[in-house]
Amino acid sequence: MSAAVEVRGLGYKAGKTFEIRDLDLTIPTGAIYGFLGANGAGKTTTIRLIMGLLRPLAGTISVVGHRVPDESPSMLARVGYVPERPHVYKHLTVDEAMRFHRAFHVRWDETMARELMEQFMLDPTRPIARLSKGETGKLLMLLALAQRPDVLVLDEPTDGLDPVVRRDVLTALLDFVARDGASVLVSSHLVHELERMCDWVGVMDRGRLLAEMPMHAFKSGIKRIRLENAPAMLPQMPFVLVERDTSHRDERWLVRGWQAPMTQYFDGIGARVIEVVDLDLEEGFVELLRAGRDHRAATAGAR
Amino acid sequence: MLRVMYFEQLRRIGPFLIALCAMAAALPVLSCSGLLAGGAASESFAVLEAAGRVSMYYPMLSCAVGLIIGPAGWQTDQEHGHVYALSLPIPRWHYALLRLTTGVLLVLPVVAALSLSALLTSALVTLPPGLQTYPLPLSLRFAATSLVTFSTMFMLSSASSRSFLIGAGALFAAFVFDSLFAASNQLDYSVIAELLFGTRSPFSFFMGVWTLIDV
Repeated sequence: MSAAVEVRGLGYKAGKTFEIRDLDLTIPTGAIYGFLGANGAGKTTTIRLIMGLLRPLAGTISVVGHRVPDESPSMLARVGYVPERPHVYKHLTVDEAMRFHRAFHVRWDETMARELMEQFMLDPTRPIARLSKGETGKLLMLLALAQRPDVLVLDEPTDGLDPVVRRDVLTALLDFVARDGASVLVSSHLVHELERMCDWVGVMDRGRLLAEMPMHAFKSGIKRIRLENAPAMLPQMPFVLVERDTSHRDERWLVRGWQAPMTQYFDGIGARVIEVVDLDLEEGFVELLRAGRDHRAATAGAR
Repeated sequence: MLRVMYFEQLRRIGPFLIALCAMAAALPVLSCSGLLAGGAASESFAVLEAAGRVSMYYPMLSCAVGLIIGPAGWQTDQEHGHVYALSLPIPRWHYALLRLTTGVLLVLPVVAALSLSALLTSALVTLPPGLQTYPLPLSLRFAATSLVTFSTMFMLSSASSRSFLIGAGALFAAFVFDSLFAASNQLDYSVIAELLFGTRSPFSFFMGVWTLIDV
């Protein structure tokens, strides 16, 4: 499996409290990778590091074979970027912003840009300062797509957009991906949005990647298991035990990488499974965050 | 790239640029206003006095050129934390060079307006014996000071707000210290002014004769 984006041992520090440490992340070529995390989890910082906008303190980043930030210009020629906040020059009109962008991108597709402008119903003579939030979001997506990138990096591209605009933007994105086979990194805290479009998912919290796996594995593999009579010491498990909650009469485990035949494991340790609860992506996401935070709090307390 | 960047910056400061060009064109005319109107200022002393009254506005205008066009190169990028500029597929030095070149190209119309106006005015007026016009030296001095001020402001405004404040604060403290030192030692010159406007400094262009008409 070749990787469109490969991050290894990434380290970055901002201020006294926020830190990214030992972050490993892989976006397979052609994948739509959903980057999930609560606000302040470090998604935007990670994306800025990947885009070469920030300089990492440790680790390596490779995007479509180019090392970042050393080879940023050649990397950026192949990457379309929609940042969290609009970054285009507000005193230009839509058409002028497109011409400005085109001058820097050799792969710019003018036909596609005009088609998207019509599809998004953007007025080319309208100054960007007078565009609505939805129209600005559409323009940013247009600029990113019309440069025909190999990788799209989208930082909360639909945040604050109404459902109609959101659908327009995502439809254009998916059409492009289907046609050009681009890889996509899309961050969001809107879990259901990513659930529908992504085939890979990474969950980040407080500067750490808690999980990274194919979407189907994430959706089907995270379970909450109610059981009783589990011993305190557990032998090797065929799944990942994310959290073990013994505060109830029956124990509650949060497990990852679950498959149905694994119930045999509990027979082997003399425990009885009462219930295996399926979690949807949002529940799985919330549980992962909660478990990750509890684990860190416990580790900090032990120190 | 240069063309779109020039256009982008022109869109932002266009009205200011027109105003600066109008002022630059007006100053040489004002220097000789008495002569052009065919008024009574035909005596040498009166002509020199009229030109001298305007001369202080040339360096002020060249400062204004630098102060307006210099920071404008970075202003749009600073508003967005340089995110757009940094996401363009060119090296950072190339981007900075494009911005610098764009700025220089925007300074030139103001210099051209002043030069043309000075040349035309010089060609049109008839001076009393013993007086001459100096359109070329004036234009060159104006071009030099405008470019020096522009470059300085361009460089200063390329820094982050924090670095800019630290630099400005340090400069202000140095000026205060220099003034206090001069006052306590009863010196009639300033060390900083000497450094800033001395013959080896690029700012020394400000210290010459700023007049269109002289003996």
